[in-house]
Amino acid sequence: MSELERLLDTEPVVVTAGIEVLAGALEAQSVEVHRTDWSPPAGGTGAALASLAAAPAVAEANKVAIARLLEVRPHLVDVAAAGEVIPGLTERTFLHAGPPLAWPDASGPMRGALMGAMLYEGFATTPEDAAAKLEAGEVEISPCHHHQATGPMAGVISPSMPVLVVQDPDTGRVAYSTLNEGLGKVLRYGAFAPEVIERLRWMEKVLGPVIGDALRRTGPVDLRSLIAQALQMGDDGHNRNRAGTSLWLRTIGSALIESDAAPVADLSSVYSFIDSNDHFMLNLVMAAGKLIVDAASGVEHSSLVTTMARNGTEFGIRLSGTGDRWFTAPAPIVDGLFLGSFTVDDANPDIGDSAITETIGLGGFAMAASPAIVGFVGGTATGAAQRTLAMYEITMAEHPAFQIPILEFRGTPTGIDAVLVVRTGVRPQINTGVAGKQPGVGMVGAGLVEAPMECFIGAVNALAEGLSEL
Amino acid sequence: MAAQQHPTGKAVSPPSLPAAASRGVQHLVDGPGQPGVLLGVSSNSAWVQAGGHVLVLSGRDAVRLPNGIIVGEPGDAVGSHSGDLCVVGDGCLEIGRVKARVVRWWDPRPTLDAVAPSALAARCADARQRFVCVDDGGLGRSLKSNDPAAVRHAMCALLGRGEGLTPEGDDVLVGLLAGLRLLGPSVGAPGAGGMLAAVAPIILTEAPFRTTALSAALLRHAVAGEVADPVAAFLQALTGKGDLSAVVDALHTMGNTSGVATASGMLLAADFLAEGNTHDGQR
Amino acid sequence: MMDSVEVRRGTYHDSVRLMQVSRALQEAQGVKEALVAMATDLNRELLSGMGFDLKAIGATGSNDLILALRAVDEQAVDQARRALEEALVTKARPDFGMLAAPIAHVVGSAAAQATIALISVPGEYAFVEAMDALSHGLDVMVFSDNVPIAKEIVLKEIAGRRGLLVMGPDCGTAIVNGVGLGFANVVQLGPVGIVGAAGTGIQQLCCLLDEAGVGVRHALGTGSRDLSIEVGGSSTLRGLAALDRDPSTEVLIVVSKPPSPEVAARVRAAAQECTTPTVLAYLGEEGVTLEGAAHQALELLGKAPTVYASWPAARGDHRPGVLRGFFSGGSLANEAARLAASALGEISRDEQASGHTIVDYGEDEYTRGRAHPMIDQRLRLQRLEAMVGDPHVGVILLDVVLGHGAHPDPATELAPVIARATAGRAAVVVSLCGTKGDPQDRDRQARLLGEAGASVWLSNAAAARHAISLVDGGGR
Repeated sequence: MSELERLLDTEPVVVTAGIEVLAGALEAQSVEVHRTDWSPPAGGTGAALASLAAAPAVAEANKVAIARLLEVRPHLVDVAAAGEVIPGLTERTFLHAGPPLAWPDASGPMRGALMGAMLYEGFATTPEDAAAKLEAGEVEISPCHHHQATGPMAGVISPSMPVLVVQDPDTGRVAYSTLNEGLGKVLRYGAFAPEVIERLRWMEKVLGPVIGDALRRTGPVDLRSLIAQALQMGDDGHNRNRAGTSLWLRTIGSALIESDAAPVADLSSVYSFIDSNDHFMLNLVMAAGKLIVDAASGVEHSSLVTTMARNGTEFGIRLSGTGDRWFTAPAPIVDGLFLGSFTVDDANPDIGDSAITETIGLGGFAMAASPAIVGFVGGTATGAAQRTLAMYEITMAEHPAFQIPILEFRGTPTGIDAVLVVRTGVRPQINTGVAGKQPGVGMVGAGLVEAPMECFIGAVNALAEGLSEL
Repeated sequence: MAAQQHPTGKAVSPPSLPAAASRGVQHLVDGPGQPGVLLGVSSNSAWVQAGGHVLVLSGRDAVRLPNGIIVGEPGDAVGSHSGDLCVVGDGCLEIGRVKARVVRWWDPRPTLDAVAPSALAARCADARQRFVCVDDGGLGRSLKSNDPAAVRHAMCALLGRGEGLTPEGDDVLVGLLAGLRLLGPSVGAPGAGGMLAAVAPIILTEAPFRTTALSAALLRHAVAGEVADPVAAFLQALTGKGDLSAVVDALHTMGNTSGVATASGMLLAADFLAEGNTHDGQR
Repeated sequence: MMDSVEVRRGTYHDSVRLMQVSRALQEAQGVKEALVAMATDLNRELLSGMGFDLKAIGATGSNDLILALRAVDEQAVDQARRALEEALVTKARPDFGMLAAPIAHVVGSAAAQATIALISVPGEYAFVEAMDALSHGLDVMVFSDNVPIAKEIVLKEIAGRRGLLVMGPDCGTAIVNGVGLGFANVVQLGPVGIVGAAGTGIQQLCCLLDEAGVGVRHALGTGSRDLSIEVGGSSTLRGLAALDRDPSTEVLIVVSKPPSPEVAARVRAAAQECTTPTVLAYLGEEGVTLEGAAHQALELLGKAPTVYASWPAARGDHRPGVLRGFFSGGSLANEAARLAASALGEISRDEQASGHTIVDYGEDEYTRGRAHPMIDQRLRLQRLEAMVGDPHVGVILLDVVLGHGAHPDPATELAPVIARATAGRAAVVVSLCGTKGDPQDRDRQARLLGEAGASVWLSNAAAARHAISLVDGGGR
């Protein structure tokens, strides 16, 4: 088409941003107008956004980063002892969910979980002893995210714990996550009573080895395929994982039955354990998610969000283009549906690496596929779908495999662009469980939370630094 | 928008919707108010006969016709019943509860660039590869003979031939007439005007009796060089302006086969002109 | 009298809307002062200047809304607050079956179905939205001003590479295929194409041509700085070439203030390359007027020049005194000022000066915290009111610009103060820039202004000349 032909030969269809008078003037001329509800970008990021908009490197970097994010095919291959496979995890260093944390700043559930891990490993004899040792720094703590790992809620990983091993067959890279303990009094909610420790030992001695053996029989399990199917069965991959758990159990069913790695009673108890835990699949999804986001990390100038995680005190994000830098803000308190007589006053600030699901186009970004979630997080089914629709505005792509039937099988909004978050004012939406602030109370409810804008402001400003001044 | 109900139960005048309209119907719309009859409705259009002309009210997703009036939401107009009274004039078209007030006009008559006969012939050949032309009932042959009487005969045979609101035969004629009218000056072919003057009158006289009112109206507009947007785009493409394949795709948006039939007619006109036919059948 | 100052955090409304709302609140019973505005530093200063105490509301950001009221009592304050809530309520989105289409917050989100983006956000943010539009393949009109020139250069470079056009920044008027963007008059379709860096210059040309029975299909605004040496005429040259190619355009007019010499040479060369006859109208050059440019275009089309309509004033006599011009259109003010300077000598552009003045109230200094005078006439009305009793002022000249986007009935607002002025024996001359098709009903506007005692002219140059002739010793 020669110069400006489209402009001169087409009936104008106009998108407006700014004063309403001009949009009204177009409508009065019977012109098709699409208004934007524009408002200034958050927190004084105007100059940074202008620099980023002027830099072709950003769009190019994002193309690369999102492509890498979308092409990973995670496979579950094994279960192994954390200390044997996770780099940097030693008897002096335990892992935890969320951005870097110092013991004095840790909230109730996080402290409880770390103390429980100390007891489990035999590094302390009483809870007080455990607390004292952690206080004294005899054991250091480091984010799971720094070690190719993720964990839900407190997300504490110590050497003896069995972990899922997820691998990318194309590159050989691996990522890890713990096995889900179930609900109630569990370590990840900060409980450290003897029954909690018992269960952890059973998971170490029975659950882990049995599943590992089953996996070696079945061969690598394609998690991307399982997740895609689960999504079309009403799961969201974060808070609703019943379909995924069921599919996975089917996948290893025969191998379990045929197993000679353990007595039948153990095999049976493993089956029952998974069967009674609708959230079992969550940890598989999280490990797959870690593999996916790590593949997309480190692309210079990219504004793709590769990490969203909370440690019960702070909410942190990382971008592909700003390396290992965390951008944090106080973790919000979630006000949602509370169980029994619990109220928002019992709630701990947001905690867990499970926001990794939203980072890969699941959870809050796939709620339209999971209307039943509202029974868990509150609200209406249409409201849930509406909120997924809103997320398309802040993401770079529509997932090729994770599709939403009610939206005519449209791919989920995937690949959060920090620049778009700041420009639109639309914050990523996470649906999450809520931990009690007293350690060991367990889950007190569930609800929807939005990632703090402060994190994205910091990230965008940092990304713009280092671009040449216009 | 629905008419507002006054508390006493009487309907008040409906608020007007701003509309864009073709200059092809400006004389009717800007003239004094006169009654019209609703001839029919479809999922997104309604067409009205008034003062011997036919107007089509539709939404923005419809094809822009040379007798079209476009509003954002045709809405209730398409719920009206065939036979309902309408009013045209004083800048407005009123159909039942919908009142369209024209605030902007478009030009249904494209201005075409000049084109050399050889270039035109080449583009016609290219275009013919991109879709299957409809059976022209001998019209092409008669044009080659350059005999106005034969052409008239072939055209009359096509008039009203086929089914639907705009029968296929009429679409071919629209394409031919508009092509002669608009491409003639482009090519500079002296024969175009003469042929058009020789064949158009009989078609215009016969059309109201042989085909639908809407189709007859479109034939009248075609003779005046006033056409639907995809038709204008196709003619532009034949003169080298715009992308032929995109334009052919757009033709398929015109009804079931209308677009292709109209294009077939345009190609007949283009071939006739490219061969340098002169006035009154002399070469 | 009591004051009330509140903050609504995290809510945003466009500035013109807020000014309309403030205005409506001020008319409410018992309200002496009302200002509803986004909490920018400028607006906070304005509020402090009005005597409001901002300590109570603490620190605020640009996404916070301040509501400041001064009213006779608590009840009046409450009523005003309720009226504000109603005024700011946004309409519900239409339903698409089960799910409503999500709101778009940035240009890119709504770009899929569009062909042009019209951007009028505050200047510091306009670049990002315009880049968003270009990257989605849209042509862009940037109505916003105060966009840094370096950003304008980047935008036009990218647009050039993508075969798109940037109209602006600071582009108030454009017409594309008969559709008016920004402030634009209702003009018939026709054979004239315009490329212009001057908004009201384009509007006046369109109005004069329409009056002469000749239409305009495209008027491509280029933004006020396009012909500067830095920008180099990028949009002007591309627009010129494209309109030259357009078969329905038979005459071209380029209108702007005089460009830098290098750029002028480039434009001249481009015009010579055009097969379509081109009129170059650089307002500010000796002998160049908008009326004259319209005449040249008419001549090229083989049409006789028109004497544009005027409505003479009822009263003939007026007191002696200086000329005071109150304009809302920059090009119209500049044209009047140049004509006045040739005839009367020194003309000041500063409203504080004591001799002849011609002021453009669309300039930045008069539009801080205010909508453009073509939308909101308050400042001009105030200034005119002050002239009524001023014995030094003999002739008042003002423009009234009609069309989409402009005030719905400017004459009704102006008539009372014009009547007072003429009753006080000042002469009032109005340059009425509008067409028969404009939504304000131009001829009715002319009648109302005439009834109030003004003489009304469709041609700005003619209005200016008339005003000059009325000044004692006017015309040399």
